[in-house]
Amino acid sequence: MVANEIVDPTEQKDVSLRQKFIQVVVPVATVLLILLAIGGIGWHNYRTTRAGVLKLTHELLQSVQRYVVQDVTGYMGAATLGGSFAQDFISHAPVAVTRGAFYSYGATMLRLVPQIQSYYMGDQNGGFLLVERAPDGKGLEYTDLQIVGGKTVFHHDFYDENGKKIRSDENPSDNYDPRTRPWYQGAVEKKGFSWTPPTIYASTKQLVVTGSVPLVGQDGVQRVFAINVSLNELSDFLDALKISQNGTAIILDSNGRIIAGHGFQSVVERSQGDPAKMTLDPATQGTFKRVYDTYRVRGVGSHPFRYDGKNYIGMAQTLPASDHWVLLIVAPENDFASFARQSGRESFQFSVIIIVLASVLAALLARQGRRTERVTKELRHEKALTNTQTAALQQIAVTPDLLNVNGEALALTEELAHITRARKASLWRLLHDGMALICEDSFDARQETHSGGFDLSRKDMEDFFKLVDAGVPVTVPVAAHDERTAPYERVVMRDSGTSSLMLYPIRGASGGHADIVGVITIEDAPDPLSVSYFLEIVASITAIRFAGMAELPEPDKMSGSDASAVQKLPPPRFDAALMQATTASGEIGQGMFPSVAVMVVTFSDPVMENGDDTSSLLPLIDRIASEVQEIAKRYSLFSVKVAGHRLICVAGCTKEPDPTAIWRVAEAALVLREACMLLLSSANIEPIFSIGMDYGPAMGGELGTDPRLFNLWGEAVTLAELMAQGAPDVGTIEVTERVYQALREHYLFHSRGSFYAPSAGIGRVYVLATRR
Amino acid sequence: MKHLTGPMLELADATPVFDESSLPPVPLSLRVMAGECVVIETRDMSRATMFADLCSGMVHLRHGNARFMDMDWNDLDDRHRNALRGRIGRITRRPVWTDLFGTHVGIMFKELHHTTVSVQDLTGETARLCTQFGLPGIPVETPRRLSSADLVRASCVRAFLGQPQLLLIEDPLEGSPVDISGAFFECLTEARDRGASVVWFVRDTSVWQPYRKAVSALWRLADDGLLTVRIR
Repeated sequence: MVANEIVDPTEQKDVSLRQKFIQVVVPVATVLLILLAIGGIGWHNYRTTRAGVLKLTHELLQSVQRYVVQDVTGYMGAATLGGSFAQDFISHAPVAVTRGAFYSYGATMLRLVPQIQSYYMGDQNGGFLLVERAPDGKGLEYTDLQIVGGKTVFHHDFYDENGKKIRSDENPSDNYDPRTRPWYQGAVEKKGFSWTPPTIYASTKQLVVTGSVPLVGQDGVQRVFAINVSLNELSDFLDALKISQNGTAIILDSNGRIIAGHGFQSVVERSQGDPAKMTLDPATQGTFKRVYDTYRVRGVGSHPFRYDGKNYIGMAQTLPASDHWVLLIVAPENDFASFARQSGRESFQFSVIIIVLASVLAALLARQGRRTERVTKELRHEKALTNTQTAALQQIAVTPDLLNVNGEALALTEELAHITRARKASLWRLLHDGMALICEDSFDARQETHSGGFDLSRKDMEDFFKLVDAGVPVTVPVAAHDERTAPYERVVMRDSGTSSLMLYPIRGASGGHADIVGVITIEDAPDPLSVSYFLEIVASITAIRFAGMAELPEPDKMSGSDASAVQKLPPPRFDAALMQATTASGEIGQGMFPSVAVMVVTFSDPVMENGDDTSSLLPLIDRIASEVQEIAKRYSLFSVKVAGHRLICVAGCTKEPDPTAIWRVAEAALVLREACMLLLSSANIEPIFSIGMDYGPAMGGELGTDPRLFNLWGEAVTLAELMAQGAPDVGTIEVTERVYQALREHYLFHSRGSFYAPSAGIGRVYVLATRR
Repeated sequence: MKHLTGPMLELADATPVFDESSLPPVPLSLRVMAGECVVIETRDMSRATMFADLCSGMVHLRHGNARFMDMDWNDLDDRHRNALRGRIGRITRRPVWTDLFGTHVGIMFKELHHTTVSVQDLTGETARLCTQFGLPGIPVETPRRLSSADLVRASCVRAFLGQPQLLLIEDPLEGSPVDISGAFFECLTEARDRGASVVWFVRDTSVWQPYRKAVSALWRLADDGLLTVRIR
């Protein structure tokens, strides 16, 4: 309100910011916290579950491992136990039945133990016995190394499944000597159970390992009993073993060669049946390679590891019934923990759904809060608007002379401008059957000045008048661009620099019927129609005021009547220095005159150039005096008196009020101003005069005896002098409010504001511009 | 004229704390609209001083509230309360002049403290008002060395300086050694035209009679509170 304040006491506190924070940030932060909490709980659950599952998996794998070890031990046990049994069984058998005992034992075992491929027995004399399954798989084949015709041959006897001999066959042995075979030599050297490396069994093309045990019969001959165990059966067993969804197992011998395991067939193909090449392939069996390496460094046990971006559980365990074989088991951790992950993922998905729902709710809450805030603000605004309008109406209601047509109701335009927040508000009255609009009052809110009295003619702006005649509120955003309002903008709005225009009709009684009697114009208001009911009230009040106002007489008629009235008036009297006083007219009495128009012209000393003598001005002053006399005669002024720098012109010194007096003085003032301007400018002198006027009661009369001089004094004279002294600029005519009231319909004035005069109190002062 | 939606100054059942203010502990209600001039007659001018303090939010209230420019003094923090007081012009009989500085500082201190108006503009405005009140220029001597007449003038200049929104005037006319009524009424009228409200404390009816036409309301402040009086 007051400019340049360091601290504005009305400044908005950051309440709205805080409210926004509470309404938006808090819900969002709450949702985020919930999100974090749910995420944290989910992660914790996942970790706990995963740890539990892995522990369980570990135990499970250990069980599987034990089971596999037990099974493999059992699988191979048929060989080792069988070997031990055969060692005792055959070595204690009499020499005559050794051969039969071997065949009987072998046949029985082959029938009972599927993984055993065949039994051998060789002795230190080069004897060799073999029992194996017949090629058809149903019977048995007994093979004996015999010497026929000096050559060693294999003699084959084939028996069916009932033990009945079917046929015999022989084939050359190619100098086969069992004593040179690894299984024979190994057992003899070791003097105990020994294993040969895996080999391809000639007849079945299957990979086998041979376990052999030495024995000495009752005849003291060194013999070696050997058992061929098929590894294919072991691989099939391991293949059938279900460790987990993707878990695999493999058995390696002490040299790292693959004995059996998952995908053994592909290993065989890769190595083209050569057991020596059946090693781990790092490309396809990287996980086993990793476990095997770990095993070689750290020994048996569980070895979790990460390979190719995945977590694995690897286990290594030696097989007791074998030749330092090792069982490797590898299972991806996901096989066991995947359900924990799945569970975690589902929990997370559910959490996301909950969060989305919570977010939607939070958004709704925030939106609702904002909406409530907005509605509250609107309500507050509405209330403030109502209060403002009520206050404005009160202000209008307490305006004195609101409905008095002769009084001014400046509050109407002031409050209009205030309520509509307009730059300018004006009240226009339609005159002469709608041929003209006269501005009763116009208030400029920026300059806080009132003006009025000017008129618009229908012939100048037909479209604008049609708009007024339409009788509906019209808002024009840019008046200059609308052809209907462009003339109005040019004439009225351009000076004040306003652009938007709003017209609101004033309806009232005209000629006995309801009609448009005027219009309210609002310039540069943000949204004037929002206060339309206030506009309606002001329009109604204005209509009542307009109804009471008489139709203005046509200017010509007025001049005519004045002119005729003036003819009847006595000639002017010139007093004091201007001219010899005339004798007082008979009809002029002494005492109070009710309506005297007084004009005071004050002259100041001229500024002379080039050191001119002021006496050279006398002819000029004389010419001015002549002009004054001429003007006084023309307008039948009652008295013209000069006193020093002041010239006092008076009209209307009659007992009865003279309505033409003020008009005549005003005309005289305008003509006198023009004449003085002309004369002074021709003498190259600045206008050094100012004119003041007042209109009202005064006291006067003839004074003295010889000569009797007329003099006038009173408030009207004093105020006229004050107006002349206080004129805002040289050459201006400053008048009191009374003069303005009397002449405003015929002359143009602009307001100078309210002033306090010690003798007259507060009053408004106007400057008379020109005739309408 | 700047409009307020509500009254410029409003006391709504404001009950002052007696111990603090010596004002009658009765509810006081008063509304002064923008541009209004309210005359309050009181025999005891020290009571007027306290009442002016109450209007300035410097007296604690037991009940009710005191609002200035739609703002309750109680609702404001110290910073804003002090800033708001910068919009009040006061003429008080309480000894307020300090001899630490020249009178010109005392006159312009409020504006220098509350606003960013340039010293040049402020000096110009002060000089204008000083001339208006009959001082040959802005007094620069310490207040003690000024005549009582010039001190009254300086008080008036200080009150009207800076276009205050509220004038709390403890009458300077009565007992003034010089007649400054002309300038005083001019400034009063000018301030009211601008939209300022005036509370004028007087001891004697005769003082405000020349201005009676323009007075909006007349009140009397006595032991039993604030009573409205019909203007005759």
